[in-house]
Amino acid sequence: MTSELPRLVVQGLSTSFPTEDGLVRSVADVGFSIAPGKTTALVGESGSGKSVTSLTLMRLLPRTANAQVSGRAEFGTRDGRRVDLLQLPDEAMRALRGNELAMIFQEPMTSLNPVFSVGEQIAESVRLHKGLGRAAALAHAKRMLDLVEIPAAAQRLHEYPHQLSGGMRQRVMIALAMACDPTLLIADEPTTALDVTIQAQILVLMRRLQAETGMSILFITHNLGVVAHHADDVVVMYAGRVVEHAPVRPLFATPGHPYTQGLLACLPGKAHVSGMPRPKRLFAIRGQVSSPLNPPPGCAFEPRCDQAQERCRQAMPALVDMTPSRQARCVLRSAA
Amino acid sequence: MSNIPLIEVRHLKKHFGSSARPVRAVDDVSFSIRPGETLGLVGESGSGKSTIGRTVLRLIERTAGEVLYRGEDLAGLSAERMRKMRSKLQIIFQDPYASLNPKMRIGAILAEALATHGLHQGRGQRDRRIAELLETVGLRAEHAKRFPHEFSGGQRQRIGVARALAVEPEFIVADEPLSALDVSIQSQVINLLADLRERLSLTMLFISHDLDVVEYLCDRVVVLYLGKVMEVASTAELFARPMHPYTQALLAASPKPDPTIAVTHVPLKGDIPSPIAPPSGCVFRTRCPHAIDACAQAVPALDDVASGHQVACTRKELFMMKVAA
Repeated sequence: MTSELPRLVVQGLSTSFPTEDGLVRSVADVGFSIAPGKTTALVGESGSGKSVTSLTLMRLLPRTANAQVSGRAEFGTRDGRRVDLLQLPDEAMRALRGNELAMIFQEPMTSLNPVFSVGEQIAESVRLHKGLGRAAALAHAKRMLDLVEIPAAAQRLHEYPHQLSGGMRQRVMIALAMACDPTLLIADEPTTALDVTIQAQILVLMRRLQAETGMSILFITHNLGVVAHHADDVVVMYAGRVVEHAPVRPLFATPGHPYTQGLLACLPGKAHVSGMPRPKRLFAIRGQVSSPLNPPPGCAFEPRCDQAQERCRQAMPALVDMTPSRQARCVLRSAA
Repeated sequence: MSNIPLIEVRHLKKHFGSSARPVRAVDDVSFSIRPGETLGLVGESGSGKSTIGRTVLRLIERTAGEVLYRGEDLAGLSAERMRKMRSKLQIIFQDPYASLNPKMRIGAILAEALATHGLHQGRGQRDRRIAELLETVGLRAEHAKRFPHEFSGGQRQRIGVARALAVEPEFIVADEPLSALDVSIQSQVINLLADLRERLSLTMLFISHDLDVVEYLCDRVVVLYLGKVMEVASTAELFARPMHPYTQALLAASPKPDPTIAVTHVPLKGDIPSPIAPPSGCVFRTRCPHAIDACAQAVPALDDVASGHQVACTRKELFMMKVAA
């Protein structure tokens, strides 16, 4: 262990897209950090900006989107340097991506190349980043398939993505991500397309790999059940901003932001206490997310918030400390 | 709640493809739904739950078996009579983006449903009914003038519900109506479905892979695996005392939104087998942690283990003893 410095420190990250109807701020002033060997979950609903955050960090936003990015993302490399992912030259970024920085996506079918065998795809990555020869790279690919517990790996190596089930494809994606021994894995909804019994397998696999390699994970998901069991820290996003940031247990025990409170309260799995009759109605957060083209003047959640006050409409509240390790973006929390 | 079933499914089979090597999507499934009851159909991809929903409504034709509606087999009905019957039997689809015609205004979408069944004829009466339907699902009358793209996902699903309700059905198949929606919107639609069910005394077949939603919304549950019924029980009984190893695994694998509950279960191994070549005997045996040689020999029957609780498992005595102990 070189130091206790976080592996990634994101500060003031903003990503905006020019559109015909004006500038859309998809991510605004987002900050968090991830310690070595730990998992930070980025939680939010559609349009909250969680995927744009991860694509911005990986510099994978399409050029044609003309994204305007600002902020810092300091990453600790294997050789002990601290680099800003947002400022690195393209070539240096390419050397990190797929190597120390890996990513897995929601839909493994669209992120694997359908015309190459899975072995070739893994081998390409290690030839590129580790300079291995063809035979050595393929042997490494087989070890990777073994690592992610794909049965009959030697045979699977020569199969194509369409020949594999959804769960197997996601294992291949993980094998591909793990091939160069990453120190930071960004997992964007990695189990959303999978059935629950397969999801459980993939989550156990990711845990095991994290314990063995000490990699950090940025886990992007909307599934609070998965967050509860697989995250150390949680960042809750709403309309492009961080509304709450806390370690996992305090977050679920005493959510600080009315949005987090609402999200947890509206889960049917939380509504029912065993041995008690079902409640007649579930808690529901009224209304819907405001259009990003026409955000409310104050707190973005104010139009849906049952606890809103006049001052919530005046200005966007700051992210304030509830305790040294917890923050919430709510005027009700700043008094405490 | 009367005990005479509104819907009775008997030995339903739906095979796709060539008759030599068919895909056995639904293979000998039986269950019944009492008037006013909400029956949950749960299972993973490939379990046949959506195929059952569509076969029950004759949106696709069955291979074998019967679907009785108030004692009458729907398969025996002429096209003409089936069309009339459809005003009693409706469906809400999963994807609120794909199931509304983007070129039609909401008013026209609802008017089409009314016109098909000759309900509320005459412009004034029809418009009043459309306004009433939109208000029933929590939208406003002026929304009738808008197009589907002007609505959010949750609102579109409300329109899908309004369309199903337009013809005053008795029975609704809800095929994963919540899976395309965000969590905060999901609870709005769950409340809507629960309200309407009560107010209009609807009977519902609720298809879902989300066990928490099923536990909240359904009276009884049928657990499917690879086209076969594994377990049937009242919701309270199933969630408190799951008897089939598959149900147990499914419940254990579903992550609870509470970090203080320790995860101790070992995930099931492997994938769902191909429905072209399902395993012999019990279809779950290839992934079952309790499988023995006998499980490969014969297909286990769906037997009563308690009142209203049926399990198809060769080794069910094992779990019945555990529960008793």
